[in-house]
Amino acid sequence: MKTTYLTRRTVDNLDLIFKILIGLALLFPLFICLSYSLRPDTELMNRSKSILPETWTLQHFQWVFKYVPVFQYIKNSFICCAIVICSQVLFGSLCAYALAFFNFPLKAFFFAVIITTMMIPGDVTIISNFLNIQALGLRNTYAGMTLPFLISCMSVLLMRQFYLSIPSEFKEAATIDGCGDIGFFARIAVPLSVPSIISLAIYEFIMIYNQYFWPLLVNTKDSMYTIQIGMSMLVGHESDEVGRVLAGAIICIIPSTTIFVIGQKYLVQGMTAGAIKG
Amino acid sequence: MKKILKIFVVCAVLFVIAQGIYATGAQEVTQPQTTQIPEDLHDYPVVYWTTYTGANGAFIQTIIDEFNASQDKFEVTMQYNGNYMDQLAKLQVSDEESLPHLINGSTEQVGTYAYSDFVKWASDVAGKDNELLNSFYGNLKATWGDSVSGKWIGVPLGNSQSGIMVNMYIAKAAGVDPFSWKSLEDVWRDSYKIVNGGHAEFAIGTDHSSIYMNYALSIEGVPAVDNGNGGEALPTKALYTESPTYEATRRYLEIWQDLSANKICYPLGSSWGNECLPAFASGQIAFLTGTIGGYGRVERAWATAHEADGMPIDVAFIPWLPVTSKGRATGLPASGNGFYLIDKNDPIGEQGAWEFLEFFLSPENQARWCLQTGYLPLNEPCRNTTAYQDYVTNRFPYAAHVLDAQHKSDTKSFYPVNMIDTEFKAAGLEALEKVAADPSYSIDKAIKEMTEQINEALELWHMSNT
Repeated sequence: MKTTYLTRRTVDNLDLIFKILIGLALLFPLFICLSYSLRPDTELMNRSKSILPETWTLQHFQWVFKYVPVFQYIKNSFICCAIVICSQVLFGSLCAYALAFFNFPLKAFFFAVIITTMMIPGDVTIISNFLNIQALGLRNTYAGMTLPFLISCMSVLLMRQFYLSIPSEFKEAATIDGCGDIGFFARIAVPLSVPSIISLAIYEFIMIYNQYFWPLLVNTKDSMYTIQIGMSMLVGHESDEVGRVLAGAIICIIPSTTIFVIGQKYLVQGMTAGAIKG
Repeated sequence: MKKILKIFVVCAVLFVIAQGIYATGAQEVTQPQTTQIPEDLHDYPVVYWTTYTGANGAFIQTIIDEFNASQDKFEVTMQYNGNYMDQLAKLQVSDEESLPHLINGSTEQVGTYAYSDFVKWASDVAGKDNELLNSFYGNLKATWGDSVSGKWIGVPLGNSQSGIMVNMYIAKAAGVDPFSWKSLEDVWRDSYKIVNGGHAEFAIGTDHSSIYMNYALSIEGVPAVDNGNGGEALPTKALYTESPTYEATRRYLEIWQDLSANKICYPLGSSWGNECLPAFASGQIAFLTGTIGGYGRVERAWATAHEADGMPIDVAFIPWLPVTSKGRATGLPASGNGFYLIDKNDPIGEQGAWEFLEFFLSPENQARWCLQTGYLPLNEPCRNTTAYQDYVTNRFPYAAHVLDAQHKSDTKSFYPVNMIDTEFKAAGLEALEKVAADPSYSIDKAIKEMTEQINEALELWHMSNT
């Protein structure tokens, strides 16, 4: 008995050490990125191999903030993220609710069509989307930047999977108590699905925040560019300065990493919701 | 009946002759005419898409501000639109209204833009006999001009040469004379001398690109594609598997495979700006391939790396070489960046863009750009400016060697003109990566695969465009 306990404890400890090592391995490039962004050019050019800077400096961060309108670009990225998240949550939830709780002709077919869109790579539709946005005169607008992403298969699928996990008895009890479909959706289904909604919001935030080519294509005005385009300017040809590029990368990943860290619990919950039907 | 037939034939012949005369006359009439700019024109917008950011982008913005202040008819605005590929994609899908008047593009994209629908050839805007265009050196004309019509497709922004930067401190210590190099085989031999003598950890670092291979083949005197290396007509196939191009290509890849396998060259695939350049500036690498347009960056990197010891820069630039000592070696293909005028059906805007180019490329402004970047002058008036002469005397004496080599250069060497440069470059790079990463990789196989990839892309282009 004691041997079994000790063996289990050893395995647990080894498991923990293994996970810590994997975590460190994943964090190491990020750490190096931060470390190098805090070194002066002289140290970077002399290819110092020390893990920590010999001389600490914020000169690269100061340069980026001075010459790249970082806050303007981050604001644009956040506005796009907010529009897309609100839309995806609203339309994704409504569509998923219909697919989960209603029976109507060709329901399976419609669901299959929605799922099929997941198989079409975004790059295939980017030009046709752009031509439509151009024809609608929506270039250099937030509407143009977000319109193709207002609804997606991912949000429908994620929310549907969660709604399927809500016991049908809930719906029956609510109906007996006089609650209509909209009432059940707003008062019961949505509050219960908060983890899934947060999960969806985080997923969409990361997707939209990391977009590069679409905002570049749709916009011609510098004032409408997003943070990823701003950061690409640091690696423009004949001009890349490694310290500035790394400082830009750190600035760029702070918002998305923060959002991810805050919401990672919900992200996992949301992604696995409905995986085991109770 | 015979009489009627004779009359008919004579009429037909006369008709054909008349058509020919008319066509010839029409051609003369359609010579480009400079657009008349209205007297009351004020701040007419001229949009310029750039790929430049950082110090060079800031410099261009300064020139733009000066141009805008120097006159009130046009107002040039610069917009960053990603790298070359992003910009090209954006051009292809934008409607006429959203197109810019002017863009930056690389030398290697001359073929792509020449055969695209959205570029207005520079000669068609400026006039074929334009003084500025005619003042450019011959190697620039060989690259930016169309050898058949004599017209200019785009306009070089600076005169760049591909070549090898040499840390002369290391070279002298190792007893290497880079000015005696006649081919890449000589560089290969001296690379071993550097490493085996313990003078540097790596002998040579190179850009992660295939353009150098095609430049070397061009100087060797062998075409990479058919139809006169693309200069006479649209290329239809790559010639890497055919003699004599095959032998030169094989030798080129053999050199890099050997240098990589024996760790004589800095790991291929490293970033030129972020890895190779600091390693070169700090003395870890003795030779560095690059373009002279990047010499300004070498200067800055050197100054930073030697801030503490104050070691003055001593870096020579050797123009790129043929692969073998049997190579023609009479031409220096131009590389670097340039301007393309975009056809957006706006003659006044085109004229504004051209006036801006004339301002940018005036001898004094061009000399400032050369000092900023390291580019060579585009023409004699720039070379003769006091600023550039001072630069050669005080900052970069080795430039004299390159300038002399350029003067001796004929116009036979140029990067293969092709309309699928994205695929062209990618296939070449893949071949280079394969042989450099794996010493046992068959060079013949790499050449064959590269040729097939390029031919497939050419075939697809012809199928969809003709």
